[in-house]
Parts: sequence; structure tokens; C-alpha cells
Amino acid sequence: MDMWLLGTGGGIYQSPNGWDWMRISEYDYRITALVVDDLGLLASCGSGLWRVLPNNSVWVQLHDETLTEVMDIARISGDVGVVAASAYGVATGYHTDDGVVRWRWHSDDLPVNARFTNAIVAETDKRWVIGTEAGVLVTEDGGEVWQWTNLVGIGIRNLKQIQGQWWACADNGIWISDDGVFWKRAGKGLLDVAVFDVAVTKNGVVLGTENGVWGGDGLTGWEKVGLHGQVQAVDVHSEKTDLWVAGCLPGGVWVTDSAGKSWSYMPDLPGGVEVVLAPGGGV
Amino acid sequence: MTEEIYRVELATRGDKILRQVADQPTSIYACHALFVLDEKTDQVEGIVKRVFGGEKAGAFGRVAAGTFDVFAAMHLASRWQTQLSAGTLDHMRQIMTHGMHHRGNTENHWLMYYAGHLLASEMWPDESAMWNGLRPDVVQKEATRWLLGMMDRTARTGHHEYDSTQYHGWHVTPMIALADHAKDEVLRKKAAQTATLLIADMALEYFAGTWAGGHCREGYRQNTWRYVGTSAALMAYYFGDDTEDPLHIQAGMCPAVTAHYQPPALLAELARERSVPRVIKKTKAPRTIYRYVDGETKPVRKYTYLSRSFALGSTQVGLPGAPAGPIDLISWDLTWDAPTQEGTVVCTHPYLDPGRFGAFLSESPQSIERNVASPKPYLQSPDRLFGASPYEQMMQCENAMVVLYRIPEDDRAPYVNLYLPRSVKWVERAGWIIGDMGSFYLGLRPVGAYRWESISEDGHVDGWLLRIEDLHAGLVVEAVEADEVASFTAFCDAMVQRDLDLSEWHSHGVVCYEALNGRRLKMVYDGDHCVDGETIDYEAWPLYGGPGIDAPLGTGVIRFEQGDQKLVLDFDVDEKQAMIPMRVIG
Repeated sequence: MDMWLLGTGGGIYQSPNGWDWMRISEYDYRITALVVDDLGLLASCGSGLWRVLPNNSVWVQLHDETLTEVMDIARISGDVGVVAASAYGVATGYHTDDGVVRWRWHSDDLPVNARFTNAIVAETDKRWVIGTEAGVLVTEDGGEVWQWTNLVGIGIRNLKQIQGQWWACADNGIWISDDGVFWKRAGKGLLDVAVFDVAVTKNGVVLGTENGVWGGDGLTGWEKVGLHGQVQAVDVHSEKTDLWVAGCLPGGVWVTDSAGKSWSYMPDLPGGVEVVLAPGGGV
Repeated sequence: MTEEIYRVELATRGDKILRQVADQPTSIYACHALFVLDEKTDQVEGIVKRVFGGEKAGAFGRVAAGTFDVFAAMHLASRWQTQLSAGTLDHMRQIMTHGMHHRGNTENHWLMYYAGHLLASEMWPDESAMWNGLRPDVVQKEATRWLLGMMDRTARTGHHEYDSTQYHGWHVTPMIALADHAKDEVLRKKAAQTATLLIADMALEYFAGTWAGGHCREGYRQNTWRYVGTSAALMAYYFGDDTEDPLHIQAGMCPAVTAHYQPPALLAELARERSVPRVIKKTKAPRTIYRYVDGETKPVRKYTYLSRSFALGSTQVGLPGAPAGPIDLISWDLTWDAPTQEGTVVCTHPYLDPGRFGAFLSESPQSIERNVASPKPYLQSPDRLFGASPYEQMMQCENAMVVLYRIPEDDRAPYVNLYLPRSVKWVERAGWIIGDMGSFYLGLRPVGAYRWESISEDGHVDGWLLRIEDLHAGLVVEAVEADEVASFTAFCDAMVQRDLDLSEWHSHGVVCYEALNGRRLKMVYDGDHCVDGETIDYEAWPLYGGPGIDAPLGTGVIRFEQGDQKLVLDFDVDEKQAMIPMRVIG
């Protein structure tokens, strides 16, 4: 999809350039994650999981009576093609003879805090790395067995796999890993700051944190780039690499085309933004 | 009382309710009254179109509807389909097939959502798709699964959003709608049984127009009121508390009055019989706590003692520890027949940690305190009298109770709030606060230093607030019928001579108390609760326990007996079958 996408507390918005935004249909759900696939969009939200089709005002329900409070989703192969992370654990969907999607649960045996999954990355159909309220866990077999990593005892807000490197956004800063299992701190500083998102720039990465946007190379010290509030999501345009969009909670949407030197607030958009996706998935 | 006499009673009270509701009809619920009375029915279409599915701006022109709206509309459509105009029904069909709907996150939300959408899918089965892109038969099946699953869980392990004065009506009326209008016979039967069971929940702890004891959700700043929430209207209608209180005439509960379903007379008898003191025990489903803790929540165990002149109820809340603390849970109270603000004693630790919001809501922990409490500042009020505290524990034996707290030093509220009515002539003597309520006497023994403050918030609370400023605060409560002691003076003399042993409270968390009737209560904080040397085995408690009640946990069979009347609710449960996961809060 050649558009910027926002998941807000009041639905999905899109923009061709990061500056001009338009809502996608009238659904005003709180959007927690978006995945672009061949059919269109998958949107996760408090009320479940929805298929958003282009040029169709009706969102098609993909959840059942067990899937709710979905926090993140990741693509896998299979007839439904998605693994869902929720406040109640991790689940995969399957179609029944009726043609509807039902959900099978994979983390019910974990402790309460480890079931609450804020983020999931499916490296393969069976290898999933999840960020939970209890830390990062990994499964190699589609959720049959879960392995605890060395990043535990802390809430994980987001996970990303960028250019072969794993990034964990935690309540106590930003962590990096080669395999998703052994984690070490990325860069210096931000020890007690919650990090919510990470995106690649031409010179390194930028972080969305509870105290604005920070930048660095993941090795040396982090430097404040801008904004003053909880930045829940940030992404960078893949070609115009100085064009960034940051989504704040509750501070709305801010755009910079100067790699953070100057930021512009986008009025008329909902205040709570949890998802920003650059066209084509950013850098 | 015969069923015939009870039906006449209901008809008389119902007529009064309907006439008042029909006087100024503004809601969809009120339309039921208009049809029954055959008055102002020409207003119905306008009301439905105005209330159901407000149009939203934008190119797509979709309309949004919450769970209350959907349920209200579909109950009206099901009950009065032949009287509704074609325009009204078409408006409803449009919204159920092309609107945008919310499922919410509490059990009452999901119940109204699934009941409403089931009735819609059965009313318009030939539509190519409902609002969510799914065929009507698929919507019907999903709703049926959840509804039957919810009833099954309720009959086996207890109601989830249990005994909520605020929201109980939004459990009872969807069950009534399904009992009257669902096409599936099994669903109709089980819905009727569940409605009866939920009304029995009110009857068992009904006291002088109020719902005594613990509640999972009492509502904000209302737990010093005499009448609270939807339960006030239902109890007035079903059990006969005939007053002019506005809470007894609620349009939202009107559909219960106009329904075909009516509960058996036995429940009204159960509610009114208070001549002999009785202990009611209940088991309820564990609370939903989905993060910040490692342990699972345990079942809720309620204990309510109902005497002629007062009711004392307490709860083992089963929470797994900090920061779990459901925000509108009421764990205990003492209730008697008095005007609002004047007939309740209650205390709580006003736990303020924002982690309690995140423990059952999924928003970011860094922003959740402002998100939740900014529009509801009373949730973080230091004077709060409602809501659970992870540091509160209690035990009860009949008319005596011990409540203990061990509050961490760094807690934002290092104290306990105790509410006392202003109208009582309180006596302070030897550490006890003793009250003469006329028909009964009350002894309160705060543990820890306290001071009298006033609490007054227009329309919500008005009384004394005793702040017990001690990290190891506590309270001993004992109430006795006045005719069981020689005089109030004799009661005072007796209370100050009670054997209250606090010698090991600070060191080992142990408090012992010998009640006036000689029963010895021994409570170990984080440990056993003993009466006369015998440990209370909460895990052995039935689903319901009390005189004339036989309801073992897990069986789905509940038997009530009152006088020569009997009622058996058999939910045909398969104890080997796994229950549906409860993915709701509240």
C-alpha cells in the first residue's frame, strides 16, 4: 500500500504524503495494529480483528467470541494468515465449515503476566517472538512450547525485526538482540524511560518514548530529537528519509520533513495514536 | 403466597411503573409502556429513529450503536413486532445490517450485544450479511455459543459480574428477552432459568429495599445510598418495596414489566422472609485480572447475615495481590432500614495505584491513570469509599466481622476511610464507637488511631468519615438485635468488655475477637480464618448456601425451598465439558 497509515483511538487514517490525512471508512474503533497484505488491511483493536477491504465500506469480522482486546498481529501462512497477540494470550485462526474464523489459543498455560501480549513478530510460521507484560518469550513450534529469554520481569511495549536485528521496546528502555533470545541494551541512556516504537532512519534509528522522540545508532548515547509527551508510534519514509510521522498518546499526530528539526502538529485527527506505518513499511 | 396472588401484585406494581414511564417517554425502553397502555404509540417511530444509531459524519454515512442501544431496539422489535411501523422496523434492520456496532468489554456489554444481535439475526435471517459482513446464521451461532456458554459458567462457577446493584438489570433483562423471544428452545429455557437465578441473587440478600452485602460493581460514589442502580427498580417491582423513590421507576427496566417471563412467587417470599436470622453463602466467578500479577484470581466467596433489623455482608474477593483492585467493587457493608446515607456503615482503603486500572484495562500503563481518572476524578479521590484494595482482608461469623489492612509504607493512601451516618447518636467508649439504631445496636472497634472528618459531596455522599491513620488499620464490627440485650447501656457495657486480642496483630498479623454470643473469631492476615478453633474452608463453599437452599458447586443444579414452595433450576451441565473462556471484565 503506497500510503501512510495511522491507527488511532478513533479509527484508521491514510495519507499519500504524511501531511494530508483521510479516514478509512467510518469505524471509530481503537486501532492497536495494522498489517498490509494482498487483500488490503488487517486491523486489530479492542473489539477484535477486522478485515478492511479496499473500496468496501463494510469491515468483515475475523474474531469470534474468544478473541478480543487484540494488541498486535503478525502475518503467517495458512488460511487466515495471521497470529494474534491479545490481553488474553496468543491465538491463531482457522476457518470452520461455516466459513467463519475461530481461534485456537497457544499461551493459556503461561503465568497471567506472560499471557498479556503487547507485541508479536512471526519470523517464520512457527517461530514467534512475543513481548509480554512479563518480558520477551519465544516459541519455535507455533506456541506449543514457550522459551523465556533473558529479557524478563519488565513490560515489553513493542517488538520489531529490522534488517535482521531484533529490537524490544520496554518499560525500561530499548533492547537489541541477534536472535530474539539473548538481549542486551541498545545504546547508552534511556534506562528508566518506556519506549514504544523504533524505526530506521538513514543514520540509525529513532525511538518513540514516553518522553518524546530520541535518535541514535544503538551503540552510543541516545539524543532527544523532539516532541514532549508519550510518542506511541513513529515511522520514517523509505525514500524521503527526513520525512517522519510520530503518533502520540494523547498528543495526536506530528510530522517532520527535516528529520526532527521541526515538527508540525496535524489538527483534526484523533488524539490517541498507537500505530504509524510508512508507505511500503518504511526504511 | 400463591402464584396467582403474586401475579396480581406484579400487575398492580407494573401498572404504576408503566404509567409513570409513559408519562414522558424518551427512550426505546419506554416504548414498551406505550404499547401496553396503548398511549402515544405514534411517538415510537420518532423515539427509535432519534435514539438508535446516531448518524456519523463522513462519506460512508455509517451509524454507530452501543450495546445498550442494540439490546433496547431488538428487545422492542421482538416484543412488539406486529405493532411497530414498517418504517421503524426498517430503520432497525438498516442499522443491524449496515451500522457500526461496539461489543464493549464488560459482561453486561457482551450479554446485551449478543442478545441483541441474536434476536436481529433471527428476525432478518434472509439478509445476505449482517453489519459485520457475516451471514445471519453465522451471527446467530456465535451469539448462541457465547450466551449458552455464559449461562453454563454462571450455573457451574457463579455469575461473573456478580450482584452488581448498578448493572444487574442489564443481565436480567437480556435473559428475559431471550427467554421470551429466542427461537431455540434450549436457549429460551436456559435464559429463563438464568433470569430466575439472577433474580434469586437479589432475593437472597434483599433487605428493606436494598441489596445487602458485597457487590462486584456498586457504581461510583453510591455505596452509601439506600437504593442503587437498576437493581433498585427490579427489586421494587419483583419484591414489592412500594415507594416513590425515582430509582424505583426506571424506563430501562420497563421491559421486565411488560415481558411474558415472570419469576416464581417463591423468590418474593425468599426476599421478604426475615423473621428468622439467616446466613447466605454464595460462590461467584473469579475476577478478571489479566496483567501485572502472576497468580490467578480465585473464586469470590460471599457471606451475608440477614437479621430482622440489619444485614451484614462480607466477601473473600479472591484477588491475587497488588495492583489488582477492581475499581467499583464493594467488599462489605452493614445495612439497615433507614433513609439514604443513614443506613450504611462501610470502610475501605482507597487504593490509588494506577496499576489497578491496567490490571483489567489494556491501555498503556504510562497513560492509563490520566485516561481513566481524568473524566472520573473521584476514582482517585483520597476520600473514596468504594473500590477494592489488595491490602484488605476480612472474616465474618454471623453478626460479627473483622476487617484488617496491611498497607505498605509507600502507598499513596496510608489510611482507611470508615463511613458512618450522621443521624446516629454515637457513643465513644474505651476504643469502641457504639450506635443505637433503635431496633438494633452496633459496636465498631477501629484498630489504629482515627479522627472524625466530614464527607459531603452533593447528591452522592453525606456523612461522617473516620480516617483510620494506621498502616495496620482494622475494624471489628458487631451488630445485635436490641431485644437480645437488656438495654443500649447494657450493650455498651458488654462491648467494652469484649475480648479483643490485638497483641499479635503487628507482629504476626493475628487478631482474635470473642463476639457477644460467645463465638470466637481468629483471623490471621494472609492466613487462616477460624471460628471457635475451626478453620473456615472457603473452597468447600457451595454455589449457594442457606436455609432451604441446595446448590453444590459445579453441578448446575440449584434447588430453593421456601415454606411449601420448591424451585429447581437444572441447567443440564456436562461437568466434563470445558467452560468457555471468560474474556470480559466487570
